[in-house]
Amino acid sequence: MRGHIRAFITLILKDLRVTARSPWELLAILVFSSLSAIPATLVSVEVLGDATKLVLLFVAIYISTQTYVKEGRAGTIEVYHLYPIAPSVHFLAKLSYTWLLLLSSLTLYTTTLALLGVPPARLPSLTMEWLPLTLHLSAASSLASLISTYLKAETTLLIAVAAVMVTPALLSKGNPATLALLGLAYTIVALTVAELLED
Amino acid sequence: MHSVIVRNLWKRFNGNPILRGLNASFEEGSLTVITGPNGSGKTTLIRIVAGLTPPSEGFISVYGFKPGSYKARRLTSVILDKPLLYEELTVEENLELFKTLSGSEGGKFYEVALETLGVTRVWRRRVGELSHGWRRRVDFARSLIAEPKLLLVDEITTAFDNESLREAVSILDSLTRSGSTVIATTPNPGDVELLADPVKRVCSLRDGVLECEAI
Repeated sequence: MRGHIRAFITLILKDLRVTARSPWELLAILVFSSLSAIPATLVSVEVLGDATKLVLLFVAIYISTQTYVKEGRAGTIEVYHLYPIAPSVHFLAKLSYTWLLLLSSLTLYTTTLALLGVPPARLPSLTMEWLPLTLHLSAASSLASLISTYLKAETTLLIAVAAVMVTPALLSKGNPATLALLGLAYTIVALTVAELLED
Repeated sequence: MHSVIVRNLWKRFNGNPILRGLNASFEEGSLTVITGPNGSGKTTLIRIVAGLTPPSEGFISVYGFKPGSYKARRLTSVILDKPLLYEELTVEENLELFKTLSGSEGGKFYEVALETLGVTRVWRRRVGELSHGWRRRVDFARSLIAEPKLLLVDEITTAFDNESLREAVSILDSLTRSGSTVIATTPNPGDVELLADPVKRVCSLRDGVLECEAI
């Protein structure tokens, strides 16, 4: 168990270091999050919820495909096939990493909204609606990444699987609890798949 | 005892057979070099034994386990043509990462590799800044972290100069004496002489068929 925890922390730190040392990619995520808040201030508060879903969706897809494609090109994706890393540890590390980046993105987005005049009283409740969505998107994109890595599939499959999994979130008219539960369900599915892969 | 057993191994890509019913056994504590021209299937064979590529047909066992299984991965280490290192991380960060992932603190062969190949000289440099030769040395050290029972080395002579190749081969010699199995490939049969003493067997892979002889 201690080995799994060490591997989990090591994998998150590795992803964060690699991201921090590729400043243009990180900057692209942050600038996109900040700039996309500008048109969002022009719409009604009701539409703002849907606009934000799209922003977070783009960021989540960018993060997961970017890390997957990058590891695929560099050949380091083989690490997950050659080292005794439990797939569940791999999944949880990817989920945590994606969630951290999505939270950073959401923080910047809401800060920009506040600076541009969205009523501050509305922001806490909106943020509470969006937080479960970030968990949901992180779980869905990490599960897609896990499937693609272990099936050695192409990026198109990753995008297709992720798209199918996030559709309910995009169509739902915002019960945050449902989204959080769906994210939790994806996590449980991923951990079950991971157990099977380990055997 | 045989550490790796291969029986009737076939690999086809788009219907074209690359490996044609290979049969081979690799003894514990031996160093085998597989030679063959480019495209003969050496890398494919290494990848299949490592569990990276599934065979089309046939049986392979790594210490009694299926290649690529969790237990086989604990025993196996692989050096591929492309070093398995993160370019954005320093040499130190890479090696510490792989220590954690393999659940090992690094052993005596790893320590020797760090010293004799001069890896400590580039300790704080990012891998992306290193030449292919240096990356290969760091990758060699990485492969020894967990003191693998089976070490697979693709294109063993690539990117090593004569001196570092001698050092690397000397480490492989010590590794096989401790009971580990090493299977290495090279496209050039003349390289076998460079690898000298520790090589116990040379196999030739041609037209998908493996022929081995002890030396």
